[in-house]
Amino acid sequence: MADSPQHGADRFGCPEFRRNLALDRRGFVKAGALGLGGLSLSSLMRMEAAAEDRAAVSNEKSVIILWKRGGASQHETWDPKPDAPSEYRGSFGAMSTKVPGTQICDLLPQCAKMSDKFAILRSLHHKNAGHSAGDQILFTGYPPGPNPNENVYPSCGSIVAKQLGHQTPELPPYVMIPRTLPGVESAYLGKKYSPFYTQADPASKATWPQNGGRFEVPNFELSNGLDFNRLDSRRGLLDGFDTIRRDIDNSGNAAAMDKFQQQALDIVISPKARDAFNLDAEPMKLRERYGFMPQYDAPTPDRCGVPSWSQRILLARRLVEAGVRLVTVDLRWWDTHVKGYETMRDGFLPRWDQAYTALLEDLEQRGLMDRVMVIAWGEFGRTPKVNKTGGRDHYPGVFSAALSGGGIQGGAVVGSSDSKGALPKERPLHPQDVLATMYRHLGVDTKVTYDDFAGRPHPVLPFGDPIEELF
Amino acid sequence: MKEGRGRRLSPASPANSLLLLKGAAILPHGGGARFDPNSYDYQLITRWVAMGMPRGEETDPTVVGVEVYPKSRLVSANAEQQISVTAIYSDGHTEDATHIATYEANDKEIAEVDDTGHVKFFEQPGDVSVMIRYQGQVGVYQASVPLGATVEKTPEPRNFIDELVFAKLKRVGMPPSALCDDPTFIRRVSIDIAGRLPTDAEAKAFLESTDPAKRDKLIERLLASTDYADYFANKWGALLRNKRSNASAMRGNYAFHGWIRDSLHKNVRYDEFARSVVAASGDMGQNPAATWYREVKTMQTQMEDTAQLFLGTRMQCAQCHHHPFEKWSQKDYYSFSAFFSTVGRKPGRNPGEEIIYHTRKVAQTANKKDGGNVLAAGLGDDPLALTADDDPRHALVDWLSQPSNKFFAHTLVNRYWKHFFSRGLVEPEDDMRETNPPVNPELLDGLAQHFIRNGFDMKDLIRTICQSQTYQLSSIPNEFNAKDKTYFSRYYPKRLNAEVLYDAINQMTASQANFSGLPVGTRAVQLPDNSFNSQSYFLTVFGRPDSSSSCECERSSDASLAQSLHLLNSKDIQSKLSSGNGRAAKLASTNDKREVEEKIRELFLLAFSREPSGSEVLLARQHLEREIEDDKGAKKPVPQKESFEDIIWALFNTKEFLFNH
Repeated sequence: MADSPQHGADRFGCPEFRRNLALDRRGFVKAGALGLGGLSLSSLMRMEAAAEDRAAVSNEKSVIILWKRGGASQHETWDPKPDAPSEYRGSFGAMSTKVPGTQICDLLPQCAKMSDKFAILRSLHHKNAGHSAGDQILFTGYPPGPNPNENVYPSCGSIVAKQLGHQTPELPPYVMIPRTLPGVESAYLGKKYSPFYTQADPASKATWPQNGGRFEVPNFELSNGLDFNRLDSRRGLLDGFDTIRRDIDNSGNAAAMDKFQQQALDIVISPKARDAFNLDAEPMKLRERYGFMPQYDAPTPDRCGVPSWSQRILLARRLVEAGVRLVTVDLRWWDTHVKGYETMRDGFLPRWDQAYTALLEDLEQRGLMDRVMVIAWGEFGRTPKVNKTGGRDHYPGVFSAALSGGGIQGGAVVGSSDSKGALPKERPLHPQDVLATMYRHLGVDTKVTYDDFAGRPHPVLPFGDPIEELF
Repeated sequence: MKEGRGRRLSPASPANSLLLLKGAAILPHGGGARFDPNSYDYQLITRWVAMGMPRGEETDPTVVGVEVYPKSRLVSANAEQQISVTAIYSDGHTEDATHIATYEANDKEIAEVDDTGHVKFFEQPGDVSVMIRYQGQVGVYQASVPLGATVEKTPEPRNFIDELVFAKLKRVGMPPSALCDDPTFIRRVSIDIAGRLPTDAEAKAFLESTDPAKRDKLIERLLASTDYADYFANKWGALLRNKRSNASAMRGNYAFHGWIRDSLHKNVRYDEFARSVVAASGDMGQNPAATWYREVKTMQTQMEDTAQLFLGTRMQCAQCHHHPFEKWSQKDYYSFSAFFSTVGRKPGRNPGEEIIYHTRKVAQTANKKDGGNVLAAGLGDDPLALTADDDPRHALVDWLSQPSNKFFAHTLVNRYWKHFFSRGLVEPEDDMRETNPPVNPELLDGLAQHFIRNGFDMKDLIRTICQSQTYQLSSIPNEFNAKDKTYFSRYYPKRLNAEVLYDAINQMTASQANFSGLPVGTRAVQLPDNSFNSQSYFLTVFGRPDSSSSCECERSSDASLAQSLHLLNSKDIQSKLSSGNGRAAKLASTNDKREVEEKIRELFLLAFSREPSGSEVLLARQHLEREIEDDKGAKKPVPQKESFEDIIWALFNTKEFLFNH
């Protein structure tokens, strides 16, 4: 498909032309030299309805959540305490940054050079030190249920999908790279608002071009034994057989199915969705800027390794650029209980430093900074005091986050922690405040309520206000 | 800004109280404007502040009820109606509360109500009710917006269901659709009772039969089959939370599932079925029903699940405050919870299994509101005199299943009505309350009384429903009832649920499911628990529930992009289609000497239980006979197997296949 005519046109035509071409499936079918098959009146009308949807494509806002799963240490990222006693300070130093007066961990030199591009929150806190419980709090704004691995409340992405729908009809509104995590599900909003999982993982070496690999999302590429002619004749048959009266159903489900069938065909046939997920289309130079650092394997089983997730971040950029509203990227596993410094130094920090700054640079160069807000955080921070095994344990009492884009003033630092990095000192912030900031950027009304399985209404957020100092 | 005392509430200058300044958004207020300075609410609070914020006396009268006028009406489309609400106080006096009560319509496509109790009806015919709340008291206004067409004739009623449904249709002036044809009926009833498509042989025999009683006989056959037990065990297993939380739960999951299935197959009385679960005691290995207690762990969740599942009553709200839509208070909540206050558990013989027993004590628990102890009491009933030797759960089931209970039988018949008709008489099916009235109260009551009279016989209930002409109406609308969604003037189609659809596609493609740890060919509706969802992307994406709540709403039949992509283009589906042992391969094989038309008929009988139309045969034939050009432009026929794969694919992607209609 890579060199088919419409693909080329989609690349080089002016925006208006590109859109029309994408809209006009009949035009596409001709351009693709496929027969019209049994194009029935009903299918024509359904196509027109789909085209109307497409006209609404706009310059709407998106969000990337860089999920530092495991809980990154505040001391070893955005909130170093160079003056604290060594058992609190840890092994690393602090480094001055481009923003006068702001210091970050000295193993993040590229971030330091770009510290005017992102803002730092240093006074986030909540009360639950379980991984999955923290996941629930940060993704939903609500406390976890009896089983913290299961969403009792919908994730922010599901809320976005429910309230705003898709931005681009060929693309799902809410994508998770690569697979599920506690907290990201749709709970009482229904499966329809679950994230679209890429399943395929850009962190897998086998997908990298230098290894002769390709990145392929399941079901997007034609299955074995199918080609476009075949698919088109199947579609023709389906149009011919799918003639049951649509007015037997007034629940909207049959209509929705027609729409999704069309959308699924678009994904497989039209280049737009496959293009959005086609990581291989990114120039090698840019991919290298994000980095191909290999997976960091934990030297002992009591420590956590670091997958080579840098390319996942690039995929996220590609998706929001194409019109996905919310992309969550799993950047695990910052759970540094044992020999944390070693893991941070050799594993997390160099990968993070390179990939995060690559993303900021990339967004800026593409003029996407206003449209795309990037929230980098994890379920909690780490204990202020270094433990006996040279690591830090779970600690929700205070933690940091980095935010950028969507009108956020780069270089802003909001809130602070005390001298040991143990408790919020100034302007204590709740995770819900970050969610409120994100929702405002996207245009989600946080006062709207949705009913749970017992019919009880719950607002999008129980509390929380946008963090005005960021803007 | 003034600091300290008098800032929030200033009796000397009430209008400067923050309560009013913020409430009316004169000063910035996070919650926005809650009232207008000219409003009654604002004036009332101003007066209260000016009076020095009196807190009232214990002896002050309280609101004990609200009266709504009118209670119910027949109105025309686009009409308007002002509701009047009177609050009744404990000292007998009454006050108008129209301006201050809160209102909510249950179907906003039919009517809308504003803050003043003014109702505006729209074009859509149907029943709507407006819930009215004031000071913890609730009332309801019901309206029917009839269509007003003349109902000249209806099918001849078969039983009381038809009499009550058709009477309602006459009252609202909505002529029912015609009766459905035989192909529609056999497919519909096989899916609804047995959770599977008819085979092509069953369909053919049914269509050819001239026996006037063939529909009744089919219902009997299905009810007697183990497929019925499989399908309804699948339904009940999810509701009874037969969930695999960890590997050691497996034995219990299999046993509980088997027990449910056996109970349904033997047609155990529903009250006995409920007793076996709610009052289960003993080792889970020996009494599988005790497995219910494994997922439903606390006194609160045991009570809440019992209430939601068997009484269609959602008590969750009343744990912390007076239920906003209901008469239930915290006292009711805790008195009802007390039935589970003696449940004890200790490790069973196998790891991960437990023994459930009655701890010898009088059933009681603390009311979180005032800390006082409350004795076990049925909802809205007096406390029971139980001794330490009485397992209160048996008393609970006695209370549940007594014929005068207004919820127990009603909830089951409503749940089953929804199973067959897509929509409950009360909707949601497990939210029965005064303020959420049934669309046809006589019918709900009629079904419940029938069920009680016949000894809580579940198969009899299904038989009665499926024999009714109402169930056998076509889903195709006439010129009047396309928009109907409350009167059952036609059958409302529903998407096949995840398990049934998966099995149906396997049947179409002649492939077999292969779930790990189960015999090859075990169908998805036969799966013992939720744990298989994680190995089947298909089941997950089509919304099979995870058995984590007692609500059927956990099952989702929403359409989604991932579903369509999966049906359209997944390896899973493609490999079923192209398998060398699959149906396409068999149909294309030279061993099958039948005419092409016969083969096409087989596929249509399988997919839709009907014969193909002339144009459908033509389309399929053309597809089978078409030629394609190879690279050099030479024409060549398409391999038959591929063409059959295409046809089968197209058939199971149609709405006629994906829906039960």
